Amino acid sequence: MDEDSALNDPIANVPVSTLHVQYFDDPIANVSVSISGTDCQCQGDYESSQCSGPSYLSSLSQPEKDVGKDLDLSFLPEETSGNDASNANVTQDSGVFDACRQEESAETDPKKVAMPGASTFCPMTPVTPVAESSGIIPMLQNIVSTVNLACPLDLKSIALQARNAEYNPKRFDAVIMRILEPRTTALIFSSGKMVCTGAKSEELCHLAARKFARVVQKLGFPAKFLDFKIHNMVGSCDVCFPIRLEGLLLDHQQFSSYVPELFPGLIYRMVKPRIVLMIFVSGKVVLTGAKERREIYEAFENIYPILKGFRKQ
Amino acid sequence: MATVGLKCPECGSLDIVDDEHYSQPQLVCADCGAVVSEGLLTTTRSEETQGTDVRYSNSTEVDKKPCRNLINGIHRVRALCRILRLTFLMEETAETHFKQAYEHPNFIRVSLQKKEVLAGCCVLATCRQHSWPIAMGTICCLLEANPRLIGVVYQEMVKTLKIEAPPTSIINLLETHCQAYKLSPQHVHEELSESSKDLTKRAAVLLELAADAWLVTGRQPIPILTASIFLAWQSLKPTQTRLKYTLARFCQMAKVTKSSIAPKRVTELKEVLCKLGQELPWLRGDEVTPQTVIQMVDDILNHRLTLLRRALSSHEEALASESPDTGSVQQQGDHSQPSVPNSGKRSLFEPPSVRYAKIRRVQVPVVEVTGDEEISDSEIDSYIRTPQEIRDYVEAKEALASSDDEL
Repeated sequence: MDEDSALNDPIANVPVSTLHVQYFDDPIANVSVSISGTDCQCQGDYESSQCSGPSYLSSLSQPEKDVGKDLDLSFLPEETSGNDASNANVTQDSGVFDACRQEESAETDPKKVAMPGASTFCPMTPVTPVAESSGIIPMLQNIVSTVNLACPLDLKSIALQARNAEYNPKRFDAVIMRILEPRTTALIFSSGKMVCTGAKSEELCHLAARKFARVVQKLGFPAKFLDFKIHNMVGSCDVCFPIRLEGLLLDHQQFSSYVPELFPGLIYRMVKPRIVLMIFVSGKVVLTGAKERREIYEAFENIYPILKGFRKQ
Repeated sequence: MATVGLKCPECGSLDIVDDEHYSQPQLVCADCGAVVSEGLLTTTRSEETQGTDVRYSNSTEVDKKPCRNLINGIHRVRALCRILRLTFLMEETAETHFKQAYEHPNFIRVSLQKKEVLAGCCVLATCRQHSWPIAMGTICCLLEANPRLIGVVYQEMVKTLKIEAPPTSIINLLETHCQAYKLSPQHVHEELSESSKDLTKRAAVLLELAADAWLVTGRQPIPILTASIFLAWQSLKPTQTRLKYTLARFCQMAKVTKSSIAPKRVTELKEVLCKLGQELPWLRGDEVTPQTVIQMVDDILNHRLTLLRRALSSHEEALASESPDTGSVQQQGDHSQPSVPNSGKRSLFEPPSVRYAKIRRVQVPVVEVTGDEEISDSEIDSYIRTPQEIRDYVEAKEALASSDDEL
């Protein structure tokens, strides 16, 4: 029947929601969901907690231990413990942001019947189902690195002689220098250490740091180029579908922090690799905390199947 | 010997010692026992604290007496608990948290402002632990503090004390929030009053609808709560009087703080209701505008599942009829630039951040670079001032400095 099949494809299908089956069978007025855990004494105007109406929202308020009694979890993708699918991704930045990958291929994948093992074990790393790689490559947006010029510097003379330098010792005790190609900024300290930020790839970062060192050299200091090290890399990408952040928080409580009053995105601290992801409702993901490009790609490949599970079908 | 050169008037001995008769200090001759001179029987407070051999800060009294800010903070915690009408147990827990946090090295040297906010954060954490639904915005209003500051202090406190404070879901918040609206017959006119129970019920359904339509995820909860309560109030008795009320006037009447974001949420929610209202069969395809939708909200909410289905199917039909026309155009468009994401399958409801996406800055194509290339001298020279420039700059600075001195 058309109606039945349409019922299985409703707008409010939340993959992890516990009461979604009841949601469509009972009309609003007949079901009363009691909100658990409140030990409020009836003082003043506070009523006892009785909220009528099944809802995706009230289902979220149930603690996880109530899950698993009468549930039909067949819509969940199969979760198998095992290694990640071998990443067929290219390891170097192709420079092209593949944002318009068609999602039809994802939907026609044979999704096998899931086993309700979701709430029985909590792995330290998110378990990924055996599926093909996402085809989306995160783009690097910022790289922070440090280098030691190994000679004491006179910041006042640098600020005087260089066109692209600013120095305000009352605000911050370092010279802020900028170059145009590649578009980067450096903080140069009087001890000879330098921090370089703003580059979009490791090679560009290295080149920019060398240019800054060359400028300092030309200004008359015996600058060297020792211990160039990248400390942080930031990448971003778009999965092209909206994400139910509340559901993701429920499922991965130990990794996620989602406080909409403070920040609109969900902060996911992945353990392996040790990367912090900021996931937004629009589907955009920001990954940070990586020391190597590979870590960002790995983190995204880990999170993509999880996010797909929270996509509205 | 107490003082050199002091002689006993009785026996003439030089052996005078400090002695105390009960608490009265006396100078007494050691040989004959005559009292040479006496001090005062009572001491003032400053003498007690400052005239002692052991400094006050080194004595144990410092530890026993709590500092004034701690006492003020505890009073504040208690006051907040009374205002929110929390249970005695929760009040105790909040106080314990506050004391622990206050003494912790992370918070002991923090500014007074933060210590004030810390009181509110302890109350918030306690409420969350006991599943008592309180929004951060409520604490914000009560403390009249910056929400960002509250957020920072709250997260630091939770981390420091290592407490588990699960956040409340928005449906729970709705009930508490509803209580704040003074709409009973004793507060407002008969025609404008509404019972809290009915209001909560209707608002809960509206809130659910909003959540399904992606209006809740990622946003502040309080404005959307206000918006749903306002629309619930209007739709429960859609008389002309009620319809004429704007959100601002409604908040004033119900004695609730205004918010600048809530009107936007009202518009968004009305849009969603219009989309569903469009599918009502007895309208026979008439246009549903945000002005006229309120009267139909009752019907829409009662039959919303059916309406959702119909809206989805008609949306799919609309998309299907569009795509054969635009199919060829899209193929050409793909080569030029990466096309807008989500355009392939525009669903009926989308998060507003997707629908009104910000225009991206044009991505500069990344040049392939090894990082070890030669750096041209001319490029580096372009970043260095010529001697003439330096001289000009120094002269200008001196001129400015001297003109400042003259002023």
